[in-house]
Amino acid sequence: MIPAEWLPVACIMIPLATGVAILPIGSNRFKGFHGFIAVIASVATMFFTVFLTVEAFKGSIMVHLMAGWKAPVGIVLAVDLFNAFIALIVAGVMLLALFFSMEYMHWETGLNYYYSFAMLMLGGMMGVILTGDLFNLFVFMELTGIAAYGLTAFRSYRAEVLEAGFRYLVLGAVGTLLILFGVALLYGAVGTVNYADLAQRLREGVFLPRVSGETVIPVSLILIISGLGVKAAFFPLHTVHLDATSESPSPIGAVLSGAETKVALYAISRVLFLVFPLGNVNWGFIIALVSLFTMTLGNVAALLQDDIKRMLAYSSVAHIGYILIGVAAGSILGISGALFHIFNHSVMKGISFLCAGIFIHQVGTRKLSELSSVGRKLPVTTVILSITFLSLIGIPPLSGFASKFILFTAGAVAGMVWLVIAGVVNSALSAGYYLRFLKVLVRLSPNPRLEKAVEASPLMLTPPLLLLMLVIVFGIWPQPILELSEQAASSLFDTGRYISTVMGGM
Amino acid sequence: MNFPYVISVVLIMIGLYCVLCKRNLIKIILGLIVLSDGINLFFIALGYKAGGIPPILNEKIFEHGLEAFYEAAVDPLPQAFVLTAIVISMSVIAAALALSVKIYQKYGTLDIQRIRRIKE
Repeated sequence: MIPAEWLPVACIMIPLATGVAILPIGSNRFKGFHGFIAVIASVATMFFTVFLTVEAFKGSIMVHLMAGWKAPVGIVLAVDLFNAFIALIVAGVMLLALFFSMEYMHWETGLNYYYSFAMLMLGGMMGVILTGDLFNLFVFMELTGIAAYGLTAFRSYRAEVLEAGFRYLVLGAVGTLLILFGVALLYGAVGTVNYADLAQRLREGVFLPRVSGETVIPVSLILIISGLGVKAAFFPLHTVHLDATSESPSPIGAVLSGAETKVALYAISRVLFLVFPLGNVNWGFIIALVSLFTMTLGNVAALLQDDIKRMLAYSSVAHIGYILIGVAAGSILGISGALFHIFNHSVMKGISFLCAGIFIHQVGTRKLSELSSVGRKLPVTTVILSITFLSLIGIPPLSGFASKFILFTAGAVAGMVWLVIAGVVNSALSAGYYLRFLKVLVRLSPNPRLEKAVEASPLMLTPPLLLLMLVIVFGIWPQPILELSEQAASSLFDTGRYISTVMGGM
Repeated sequence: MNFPYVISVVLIMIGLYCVLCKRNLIKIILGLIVLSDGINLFFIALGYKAGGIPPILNEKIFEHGLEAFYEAAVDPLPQAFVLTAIVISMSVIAAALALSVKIYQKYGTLDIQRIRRIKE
């Protein structure tokens, strides 16, 4: 087995190398081949992220010094349990989405581009998660972005797709450029871009000569967080995410909603809690306000939707709002609730988008009015989707309840009772549209569109079923995930150990 | 002394204005280019030193000493950053131009307000 400090390199390099390798293989001669290779590569990536998580769970922080240069001079990859856990979630979502794509995207042309972009996106997300310095964060964020713009606009024969892709590209590029500007300001003030070194110097107040840290630091923090916000899809930066998730192919919608937003949220919490010393400005309150607007807007707008994917996109925005409650609380309990909800939301949105994809594939529409009484023709899909919707509302025996409960408790403990009340009201609001969708899907009225519709093949039903098992199992028995996220959250707040491990030997 | 910083902030403002307010796709892409150039200029200005020498160790260091070398050498790191950022923005611009060609073929216009088809 490869030594532990090479695991993060393997997680980044396997998808990147695969992405480059399958690009030149012509798509007409080897149909089905690209998907197979991509699934194998994501299985390998997932395998290594499992090893990473196991190693990190034992309590070690793995630091890989690129080409042997020590921090802060060289580029480091630093992994503790916090990013190992996120990497595991992201690799899992990508694997199941690609497995689903093997049949779902089978009839499209240019599949080598599709799988190549998906692999590059996975590599980019792994890079964002595992890197230990801010400039690499920018580079990998843009790599993820370019692949995501390509995937969003993949079905370029549809006009809406091009529009969504272009909007996503422009705002995503502006977002990453804002990150770059923030990093430039920070480099000008402190003279380093390494997380650990930055954290150390900012805590000690060591600035370069002729720089006043009081103005530069908040400005660069705002620039970096708003740049990441385009990808994390919180208010007021959520609009392009909505277009991208609802217009891209359904498996990619699952990845954008279930993995990419989580990557950006990870980067935000890493930057907030490790790099920047939380001083005189009350960041928790600002994030709480953002959280309030995000969830309210997501839920209210989702009430008005007739398009199932658009509704799911709005509901993602609402759930980002719930996750931000944990970030706003800023305690170990809050972050572990946020992590637990990140896990649950990735799983639940994965199922929902894949089931919406099955509807599109089998029935040929995504309008709710045209899908009425689909439950009679596609019973398995509808049952899976129904249980997931109940979990998204937060009905007790399912996993969505457990994580929301922890988030709300953390909010109340942190003294933000108003935010918790808003969260509870929002959950009730969300029941409005989920139950409306469920009612229409299982209604027993004749629907001429459904005459030729048949249940999806077992190959397409496998990924949602696997994920559904997670929803049920971790709803009844949440202890393992709870313990994992609690340890991960405490490793995020153990900044002293992170800094000394990364800077070790200097 | 502060001249490059002022120019770069002006460029960033012009770029943001073009991206957010212009209606033509090509002008939006030009705005992106100006925006990224402004940030790159800012980065380069951070590493600039008047009368600086390249940070390469050679035999001249024995004449003036290590301290004088440290004083005079420019910071090479921003230039490495900017080189990376230029390559990245080049690929983003290429992707944007490719998409706008496709959009023109599909909609017959480059006006962002006339290619709205996604319902809010």
